[in-house]
Amino acid sequence: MISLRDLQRDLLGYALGDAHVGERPWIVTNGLSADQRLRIYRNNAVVGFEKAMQSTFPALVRLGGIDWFNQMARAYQRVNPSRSGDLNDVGGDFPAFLEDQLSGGEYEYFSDVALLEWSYQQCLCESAVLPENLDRLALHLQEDLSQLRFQVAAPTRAIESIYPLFEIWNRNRSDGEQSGAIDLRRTASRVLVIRRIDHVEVREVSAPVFTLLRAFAAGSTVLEAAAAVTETCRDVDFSDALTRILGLGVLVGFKLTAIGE
Amino acid sequence: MTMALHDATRVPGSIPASAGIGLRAQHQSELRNSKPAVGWLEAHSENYFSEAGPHIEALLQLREHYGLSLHGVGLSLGSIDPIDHAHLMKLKRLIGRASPAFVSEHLSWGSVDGRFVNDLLPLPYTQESLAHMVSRVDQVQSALQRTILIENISSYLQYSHSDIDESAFLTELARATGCGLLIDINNLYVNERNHGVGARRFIDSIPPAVVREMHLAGHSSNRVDQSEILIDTHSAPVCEAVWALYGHAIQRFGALPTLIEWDSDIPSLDVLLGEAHKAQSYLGAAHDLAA
Repeated sequence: MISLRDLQRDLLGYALGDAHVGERPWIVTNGLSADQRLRIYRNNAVVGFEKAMQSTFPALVRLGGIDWFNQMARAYQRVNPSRSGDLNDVGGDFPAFLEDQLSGGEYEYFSDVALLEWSYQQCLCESAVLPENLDRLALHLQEDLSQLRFQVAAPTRAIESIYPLFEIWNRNRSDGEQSGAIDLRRTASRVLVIRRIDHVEVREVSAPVFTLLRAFAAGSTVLEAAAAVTETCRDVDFSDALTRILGLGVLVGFKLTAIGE
Repeated sequence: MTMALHDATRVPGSIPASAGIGLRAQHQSELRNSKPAVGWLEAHSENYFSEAGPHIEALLQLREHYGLSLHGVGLSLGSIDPIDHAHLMKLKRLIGRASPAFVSEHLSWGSVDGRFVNDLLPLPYTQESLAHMVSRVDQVQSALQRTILIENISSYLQYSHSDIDESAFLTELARATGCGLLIDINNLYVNERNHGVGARRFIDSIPPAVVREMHLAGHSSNRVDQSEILIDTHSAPVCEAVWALYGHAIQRFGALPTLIEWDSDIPSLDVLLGEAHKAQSYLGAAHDLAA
């Protein structure tokens, strides 16, 4: 008699497409072969996975069409099967998978769209963090500000693309209107995904704002962040970039001490 | 009819012995706005594990108005893998937030070696499986510090080495662990058609005292070569044969909280409520008889 362990390994391998078709005397045939019966479970595993992926990546479904998307989802499942009893968890490596598949081709921007959609879903499931009233900073203006660091709200994602990512996503999200073609040669895009109290906001920001915010999120001091901006962005108005970041409401605190103090 | 939904007799845990519906994302907004008269709601646990977001917010708001049951599909109870502790803790946290009357899972497995098919696969009904399930239900109930309900599943295959009736398997599982049973009437019908397992005999052999909830759903009929096989799609109205079986189950188990499950090709809320009203009329007749 087959053990429970061996039975489960065999059936799951079949359902995920990596086990061979063959004799399984421990399955009652009763009008249908073991293979025909197991194919029902394989189909369920594939269709359930496809639906979960469609729900997470609606803009990609629109961009590539449902047939292309399902083909990619099935290929992704073969190398990245679900590792969770919660189907909402599947798809985290899909952007990297698409990058591998599509890099250098006409549709390589699909991986950036996938990253934005995954970020959106993750952000949606996190709590908003209220921005701190940074007026308190005024009390410290006479102190040494060389170690001033801003803290960025955790549920904030920053995505940089050489394609007009925000426009592509915005035109193809499920509740958006698709109209007109997008010139993919247009300028690069830097996108923030921000968890607000009652919604997720996706917005495009300038290169200096993006660079500055990413430096803050990495733990850089304001001076270090300013240096990073000056290095990467020409003719930058640092004060303007900082003012814009303050207006985004994503800074949730500050520290005046060196890391570790 | 609508009054009866809220006036129905309450069973322990604050879910009335009336008809409820599955909470689906498509209906959240309408339910929050119109708060229709329906006995209670059942939510798939995994869809509400997140810390925040519109789904968990809707659930917690609706919880203020309706009785709630949490129905899990991802714990993979029968798997030989260790129970996913993180998953279990997410469930425990959700239970703490939503205070459901019932927490249920399936007599099934869906993962091995860390890989999941996210489906409900049948176990062979053997002493080995029974001992395994008893141990697993014990672990879960101990971690959650509450009893859970275990549901019979529909299946598309049987194992030649199964040597225990499914009903006897479930009865012994309930006896050994103290868990309750959730009897899915549609699953019994699907299995009867697919395997010739007598649905009425199943119902008649389950001790009424351990049954706490029933499920009703629709299925689809597929042809494979010359054979017909029913698939438990939850994508259609409850068929007449399942309603008849439900009537028999009420006679056997009494009036119990009964859920209308509809997970694919989800219709308008009105259609779902119509099915719930039909279930309620069966329950009402049982109440009248009891009176």
